[in-house]
Amino acid sequence: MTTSYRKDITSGLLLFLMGGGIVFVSLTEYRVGTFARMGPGLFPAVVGGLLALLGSIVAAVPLWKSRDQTGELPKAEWRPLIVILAALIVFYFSIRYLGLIPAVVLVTFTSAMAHPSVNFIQMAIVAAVLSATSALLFRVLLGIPFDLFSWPIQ
Amino acid sequence: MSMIDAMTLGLSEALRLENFLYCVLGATLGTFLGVLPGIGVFVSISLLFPITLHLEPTAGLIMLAGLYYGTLYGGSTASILLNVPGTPSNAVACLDGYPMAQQGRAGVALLVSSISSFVGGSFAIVLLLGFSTTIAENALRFQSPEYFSLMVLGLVAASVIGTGRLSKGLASVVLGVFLGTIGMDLISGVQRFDLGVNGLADGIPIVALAMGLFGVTEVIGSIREQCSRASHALTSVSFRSMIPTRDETRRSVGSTARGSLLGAFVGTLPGTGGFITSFMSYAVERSISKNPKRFGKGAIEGLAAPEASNNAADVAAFIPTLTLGIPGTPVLAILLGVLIIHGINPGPNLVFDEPELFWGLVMSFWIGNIVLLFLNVPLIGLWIKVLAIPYRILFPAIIVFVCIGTYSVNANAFDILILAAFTALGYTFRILGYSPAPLILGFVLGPMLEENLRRSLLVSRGDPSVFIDRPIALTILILTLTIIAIPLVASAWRSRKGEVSSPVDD
Repeated sequence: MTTSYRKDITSGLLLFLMGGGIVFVSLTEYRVGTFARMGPGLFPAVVGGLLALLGSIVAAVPLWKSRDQTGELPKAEWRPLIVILAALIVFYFSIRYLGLIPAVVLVTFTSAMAHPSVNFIQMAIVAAVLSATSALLFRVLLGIPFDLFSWPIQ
Repeated sequence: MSMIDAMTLGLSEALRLENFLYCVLGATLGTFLGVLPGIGVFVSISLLFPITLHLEPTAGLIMLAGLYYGTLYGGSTASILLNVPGTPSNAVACLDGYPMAQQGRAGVALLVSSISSFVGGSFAIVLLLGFSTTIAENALRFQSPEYFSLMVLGLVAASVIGTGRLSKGLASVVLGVFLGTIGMDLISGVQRFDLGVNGLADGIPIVALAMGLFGVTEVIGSIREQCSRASHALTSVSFRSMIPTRDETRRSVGSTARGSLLGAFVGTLPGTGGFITSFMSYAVERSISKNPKRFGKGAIEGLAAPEASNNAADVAAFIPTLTLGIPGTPVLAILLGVLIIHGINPGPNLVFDEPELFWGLVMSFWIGNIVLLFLNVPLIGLWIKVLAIPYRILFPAIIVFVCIGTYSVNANAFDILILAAFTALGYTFRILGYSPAPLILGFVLGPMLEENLRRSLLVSRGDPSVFIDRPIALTILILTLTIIAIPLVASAWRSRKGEVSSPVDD
């Protein structure tokens, strides 16, 4: 656990910048219109302004408090985060170029790496069961036209 | 429509073979997933939400709802037997349920928990049946300014009640409203904030957003803890062991009634949900007990009341969602998203325009709850075996299903990148102490908020006093300001008295 003191200041500033960016884009890219006939830019500009305001409150309040008064937040666990995000990217590419079954197998093994101890035989069984279930469920029962295998080079 | 007519229509719709089967399927899968350690409502909804989109709207919603309360039921089983709450709402069931299991009273705990949940749910269903039409009829007189104010109230209430600082909850809601503006503006036809990407032209798909923010984020957060937990010795629960003593029966009746009442009334407020009400009713039971020391050591009241109240609250939360179109919890926001995807407009018209869907869904809660009673009690042996499945095997399977499910909705691989982006955002929120629930509420309500604001100002010819001149809109807005003011005043009061301020302030 780490204290929220610095995290609040950082995240508040980020929200402030994001809100400011939204206001800028809304006002420059889209027509603002009048209150009676609001253009597409007015509502997002107001929302962006609110976000910037709230961001500055999030960042400013901890400044007036002593550090031990701020709460605690969970610590980041990088391994599962990065591995699972990687697994999603693997699915993105494999579903496009390889088909459903290779995608299932690749994603099973990639995401299993999120925990340091991987039992490969166990995962092979899981991958096989998942391939069969997903092919049956999505292709046969729900009738979604997934390619089970599609080779990039034919 | 009278209550009897509504019940008849609802029953005939909910008992249609197809709907009934999806209700049973949803409840069964929900129980199965809820029992699995480390899988809560969000992961379970994420797994099956895309599938429900491929069904008829009524069947899809019935299955989704069945999945929702099924997961809560299953979660109680895991709490009682293993002391691992499947969902936050079930955390309270651990307090006295697990000690009961350790004393060899697991059977009684499971039976009482099932029956209390059933009673709580039933009580809220009666409220839904009795008051939906009246609320919707009155709300039909609402025009854009009232709707706008009501949505602001719902969003603010949901972000205030969430954990953490008020400003962070509100920031989360506002970010959600912004994300809702992405895609085509329906009035002018202009593409907004789509970054020139085709996949964002129709806006961010709610499936990818919800699954990333809640489902995958939850999995990432559970891997380390759940995988390192030792597997559990299997206990066995016989039917004979389920029979409560006369004293236990007597004590749980009153608790169940109090829990149901509290849950049903508090649950209708936006942002509360079963989690908060179950803690509240536990506190109530302990404070009125003649012997509060028994609590935490297997007091049956400490199990019956929270179980009744969390189920009552979860059903009662459907009242504002279905009659006003204002969801109070993320799961109900997803449910509204499903309605919108099917081209059905949520709001007070729903009960009049789609009576079959409305009453069919309401009555399916009852059927689903009865099904759950039959699933949980006789099949307890099966659920105990399910409890032993290790998370190491489960989480890769969850990721695979979430990917295929997200992809299956639009058959567009770009949605997977959106899923990854919202997973990253969801995890960032977790680390930085922001609650994701207000974000999804803002995302779902954002477009309706903008539409009603535009329409109000169009009718008033640009005069913003339209929100002040109309008594109902004004009342709702004053209520909203009060909700924001209460925590601020409370925090100022505490710091004046020199106490250490809680994290719920500013």
